[in-house]
Amino acid sequence: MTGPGSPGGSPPGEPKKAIPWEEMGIPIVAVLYALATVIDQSVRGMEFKTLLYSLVLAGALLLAVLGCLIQTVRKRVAKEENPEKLREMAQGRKRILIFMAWAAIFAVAFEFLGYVISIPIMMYILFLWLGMKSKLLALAFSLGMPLAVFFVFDRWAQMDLPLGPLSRILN
Amino acid sequence: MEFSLSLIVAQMLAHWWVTLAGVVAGILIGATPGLTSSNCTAIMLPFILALRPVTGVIFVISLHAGSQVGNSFPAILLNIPGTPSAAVTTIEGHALARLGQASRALGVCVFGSVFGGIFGGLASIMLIPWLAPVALRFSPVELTVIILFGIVVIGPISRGSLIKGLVSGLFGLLVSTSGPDPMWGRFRGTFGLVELYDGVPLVPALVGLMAFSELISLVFKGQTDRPTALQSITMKEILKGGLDVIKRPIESFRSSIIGLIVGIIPGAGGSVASALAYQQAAVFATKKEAPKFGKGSVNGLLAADASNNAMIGGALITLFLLAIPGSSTDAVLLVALTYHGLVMGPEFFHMNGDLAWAALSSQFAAAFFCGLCGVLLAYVMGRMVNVKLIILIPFISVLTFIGGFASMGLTFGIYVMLVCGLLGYYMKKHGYVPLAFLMGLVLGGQLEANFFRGYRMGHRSFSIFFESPIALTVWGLMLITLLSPLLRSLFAKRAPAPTPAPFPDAGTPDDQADEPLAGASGR
Repeated sequence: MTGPGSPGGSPPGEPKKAIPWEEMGIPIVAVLYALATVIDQSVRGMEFKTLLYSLVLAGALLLAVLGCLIQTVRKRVAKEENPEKLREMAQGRKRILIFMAWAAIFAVAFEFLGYVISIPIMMYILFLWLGMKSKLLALAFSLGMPLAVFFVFDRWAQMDLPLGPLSRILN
Repeated sequence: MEFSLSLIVAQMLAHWWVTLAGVVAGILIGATPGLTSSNCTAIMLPFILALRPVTGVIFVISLHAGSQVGNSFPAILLNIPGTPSAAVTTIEGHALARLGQASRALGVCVFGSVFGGIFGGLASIMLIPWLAPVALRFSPVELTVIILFGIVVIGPISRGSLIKGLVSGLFGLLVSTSGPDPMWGRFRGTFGLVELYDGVPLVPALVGLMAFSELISLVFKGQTDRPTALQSITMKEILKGGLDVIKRPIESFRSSIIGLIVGIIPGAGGSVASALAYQQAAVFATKKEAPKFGKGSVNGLLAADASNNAMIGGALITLFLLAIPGSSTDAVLLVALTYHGLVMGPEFFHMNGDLAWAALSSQFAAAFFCGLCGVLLAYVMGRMVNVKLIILIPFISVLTFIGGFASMGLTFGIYVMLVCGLLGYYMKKHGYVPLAFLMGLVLGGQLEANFFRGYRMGHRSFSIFFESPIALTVWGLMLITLLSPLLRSLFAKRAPAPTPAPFPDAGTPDDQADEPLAGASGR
């Protein structure tokens, strides 16, 4: 049986097939978390009865991960060789990296500068990065959003959102 | 609190404005590709938590109902499903649009959804009083087995991969052990972080898994523009679609029953309901109707949409009686109710009867407003479906940040949201099941508490988990689910028939963007 996702190699002329090792990323993270949890509890001197449940879950997870590993190793998927598609994928990954960097900066700015200052700045940057042609519209949306957040979440829903340096003025 | 028609009517009148707001929001959300009721409910969670429990529940149910109506609009007009459960609608809906009958198709979807919603509401109200005494017989033993079953079965039902579903669910259960253990109160899995003393915060995790992961997916796609819809919509033709629904009572009832049953199954969701109902509509099609399937069949379209809304009633049954969410949106509802200190399960109707009946009766009001608002909004949908991602992404990003921050009041929540967002994205990309992870996270504490209570009831013997008839039945179902891949391969070897198309996934939108990537399992 040939074709993507099936065991065995590919006949000549067909795209090269490889084991999709990237599918093991999540199980590896899960196993590492399980190990970290068990080690953390052991180091803290947890009683066995408290540790037992985590150990049972970790054991079951390890078995499932083993099953996943066997399934992955038996699988063969066609390697993408189209340069256009490879470029698209690389660009997509780069976009994710930039977006996550933006998110990390936003998280820090949200805490220290407050939502009133950080939201317009970070939204405007994001609009421009995404390619919004109308800078005026981007600015309007960016300035309008903290207003909307103020009325809906701060005033109406009574949420305690960080104000940063403006806390003395707005509180 | 006993069932009472006057109570239902009173509840509907008292909360009509919440229902209207939820339905309108749901239709607009459902009509916007990239947004689903689950990720939008997750984004709006801080807002929902600020409401009274009954108001919040009715809002979520109405939003869910509205999104099942709205998701058909871009499916018909643009061949893009607004949510995964509208994937089947694109087949017949867009075919009708190409024949110049887009308005009629919209009418069929709106009125079919109304029928399904009323049916689901009636069924849930009639079945729950009958099922509640049965559910009261559930001791910690049965609850342990049922929760385990709910987590285990989601993988194969929603994405078809048993092992990946198990990994996802077990991972969620393990993460849920963070914080104080329910029996002895000892802190574990905190890694020295004070912020984890109450466990991993559910709201930021939910917002990250459901909403932020979708943003990452959209950013990966990089497609910030969309094609425009070119059909003009007329009110007369929309109402004609409503007449089509009235002329097809058998198809409407059959699809609604299928939707209700699928809704009861944890993790199945709208995608499975609509696909199964569509398949059955094709099987039972008359000689006159059968050739139209795939080319613009009103029966097929009706089947998909009626089942979607009937599913909501079925999912509420499972949620209220067993505390197991039937879909991603119900998982959000479960988190919201847990936040307010309300415990789902057999005692829910006795302890919180007013909230329960208000929630169930809201389905009728939601169906009414779905019809009213659906018809009106369908008329103007040509503009709505053109909202570009370039505008949506920044707004949704900000809302997810507020969602991540609001529940804890700490930036730690935002970091949890970001981590869960990345986790959710990679899980969906490689065929894992974020919903199973979420269920493990939400239900892990209950599972552990019930497990140890059952263990003590059995005088520290595990055999008690294999003694009760209910528990044995659920173990049997679990075994069948776990062995189903093996059974399927055995039957396939004996009788090599063409394999039917797998159901689309339940829950959050699928990995349409990951087509170029090798190894990404599609929905």
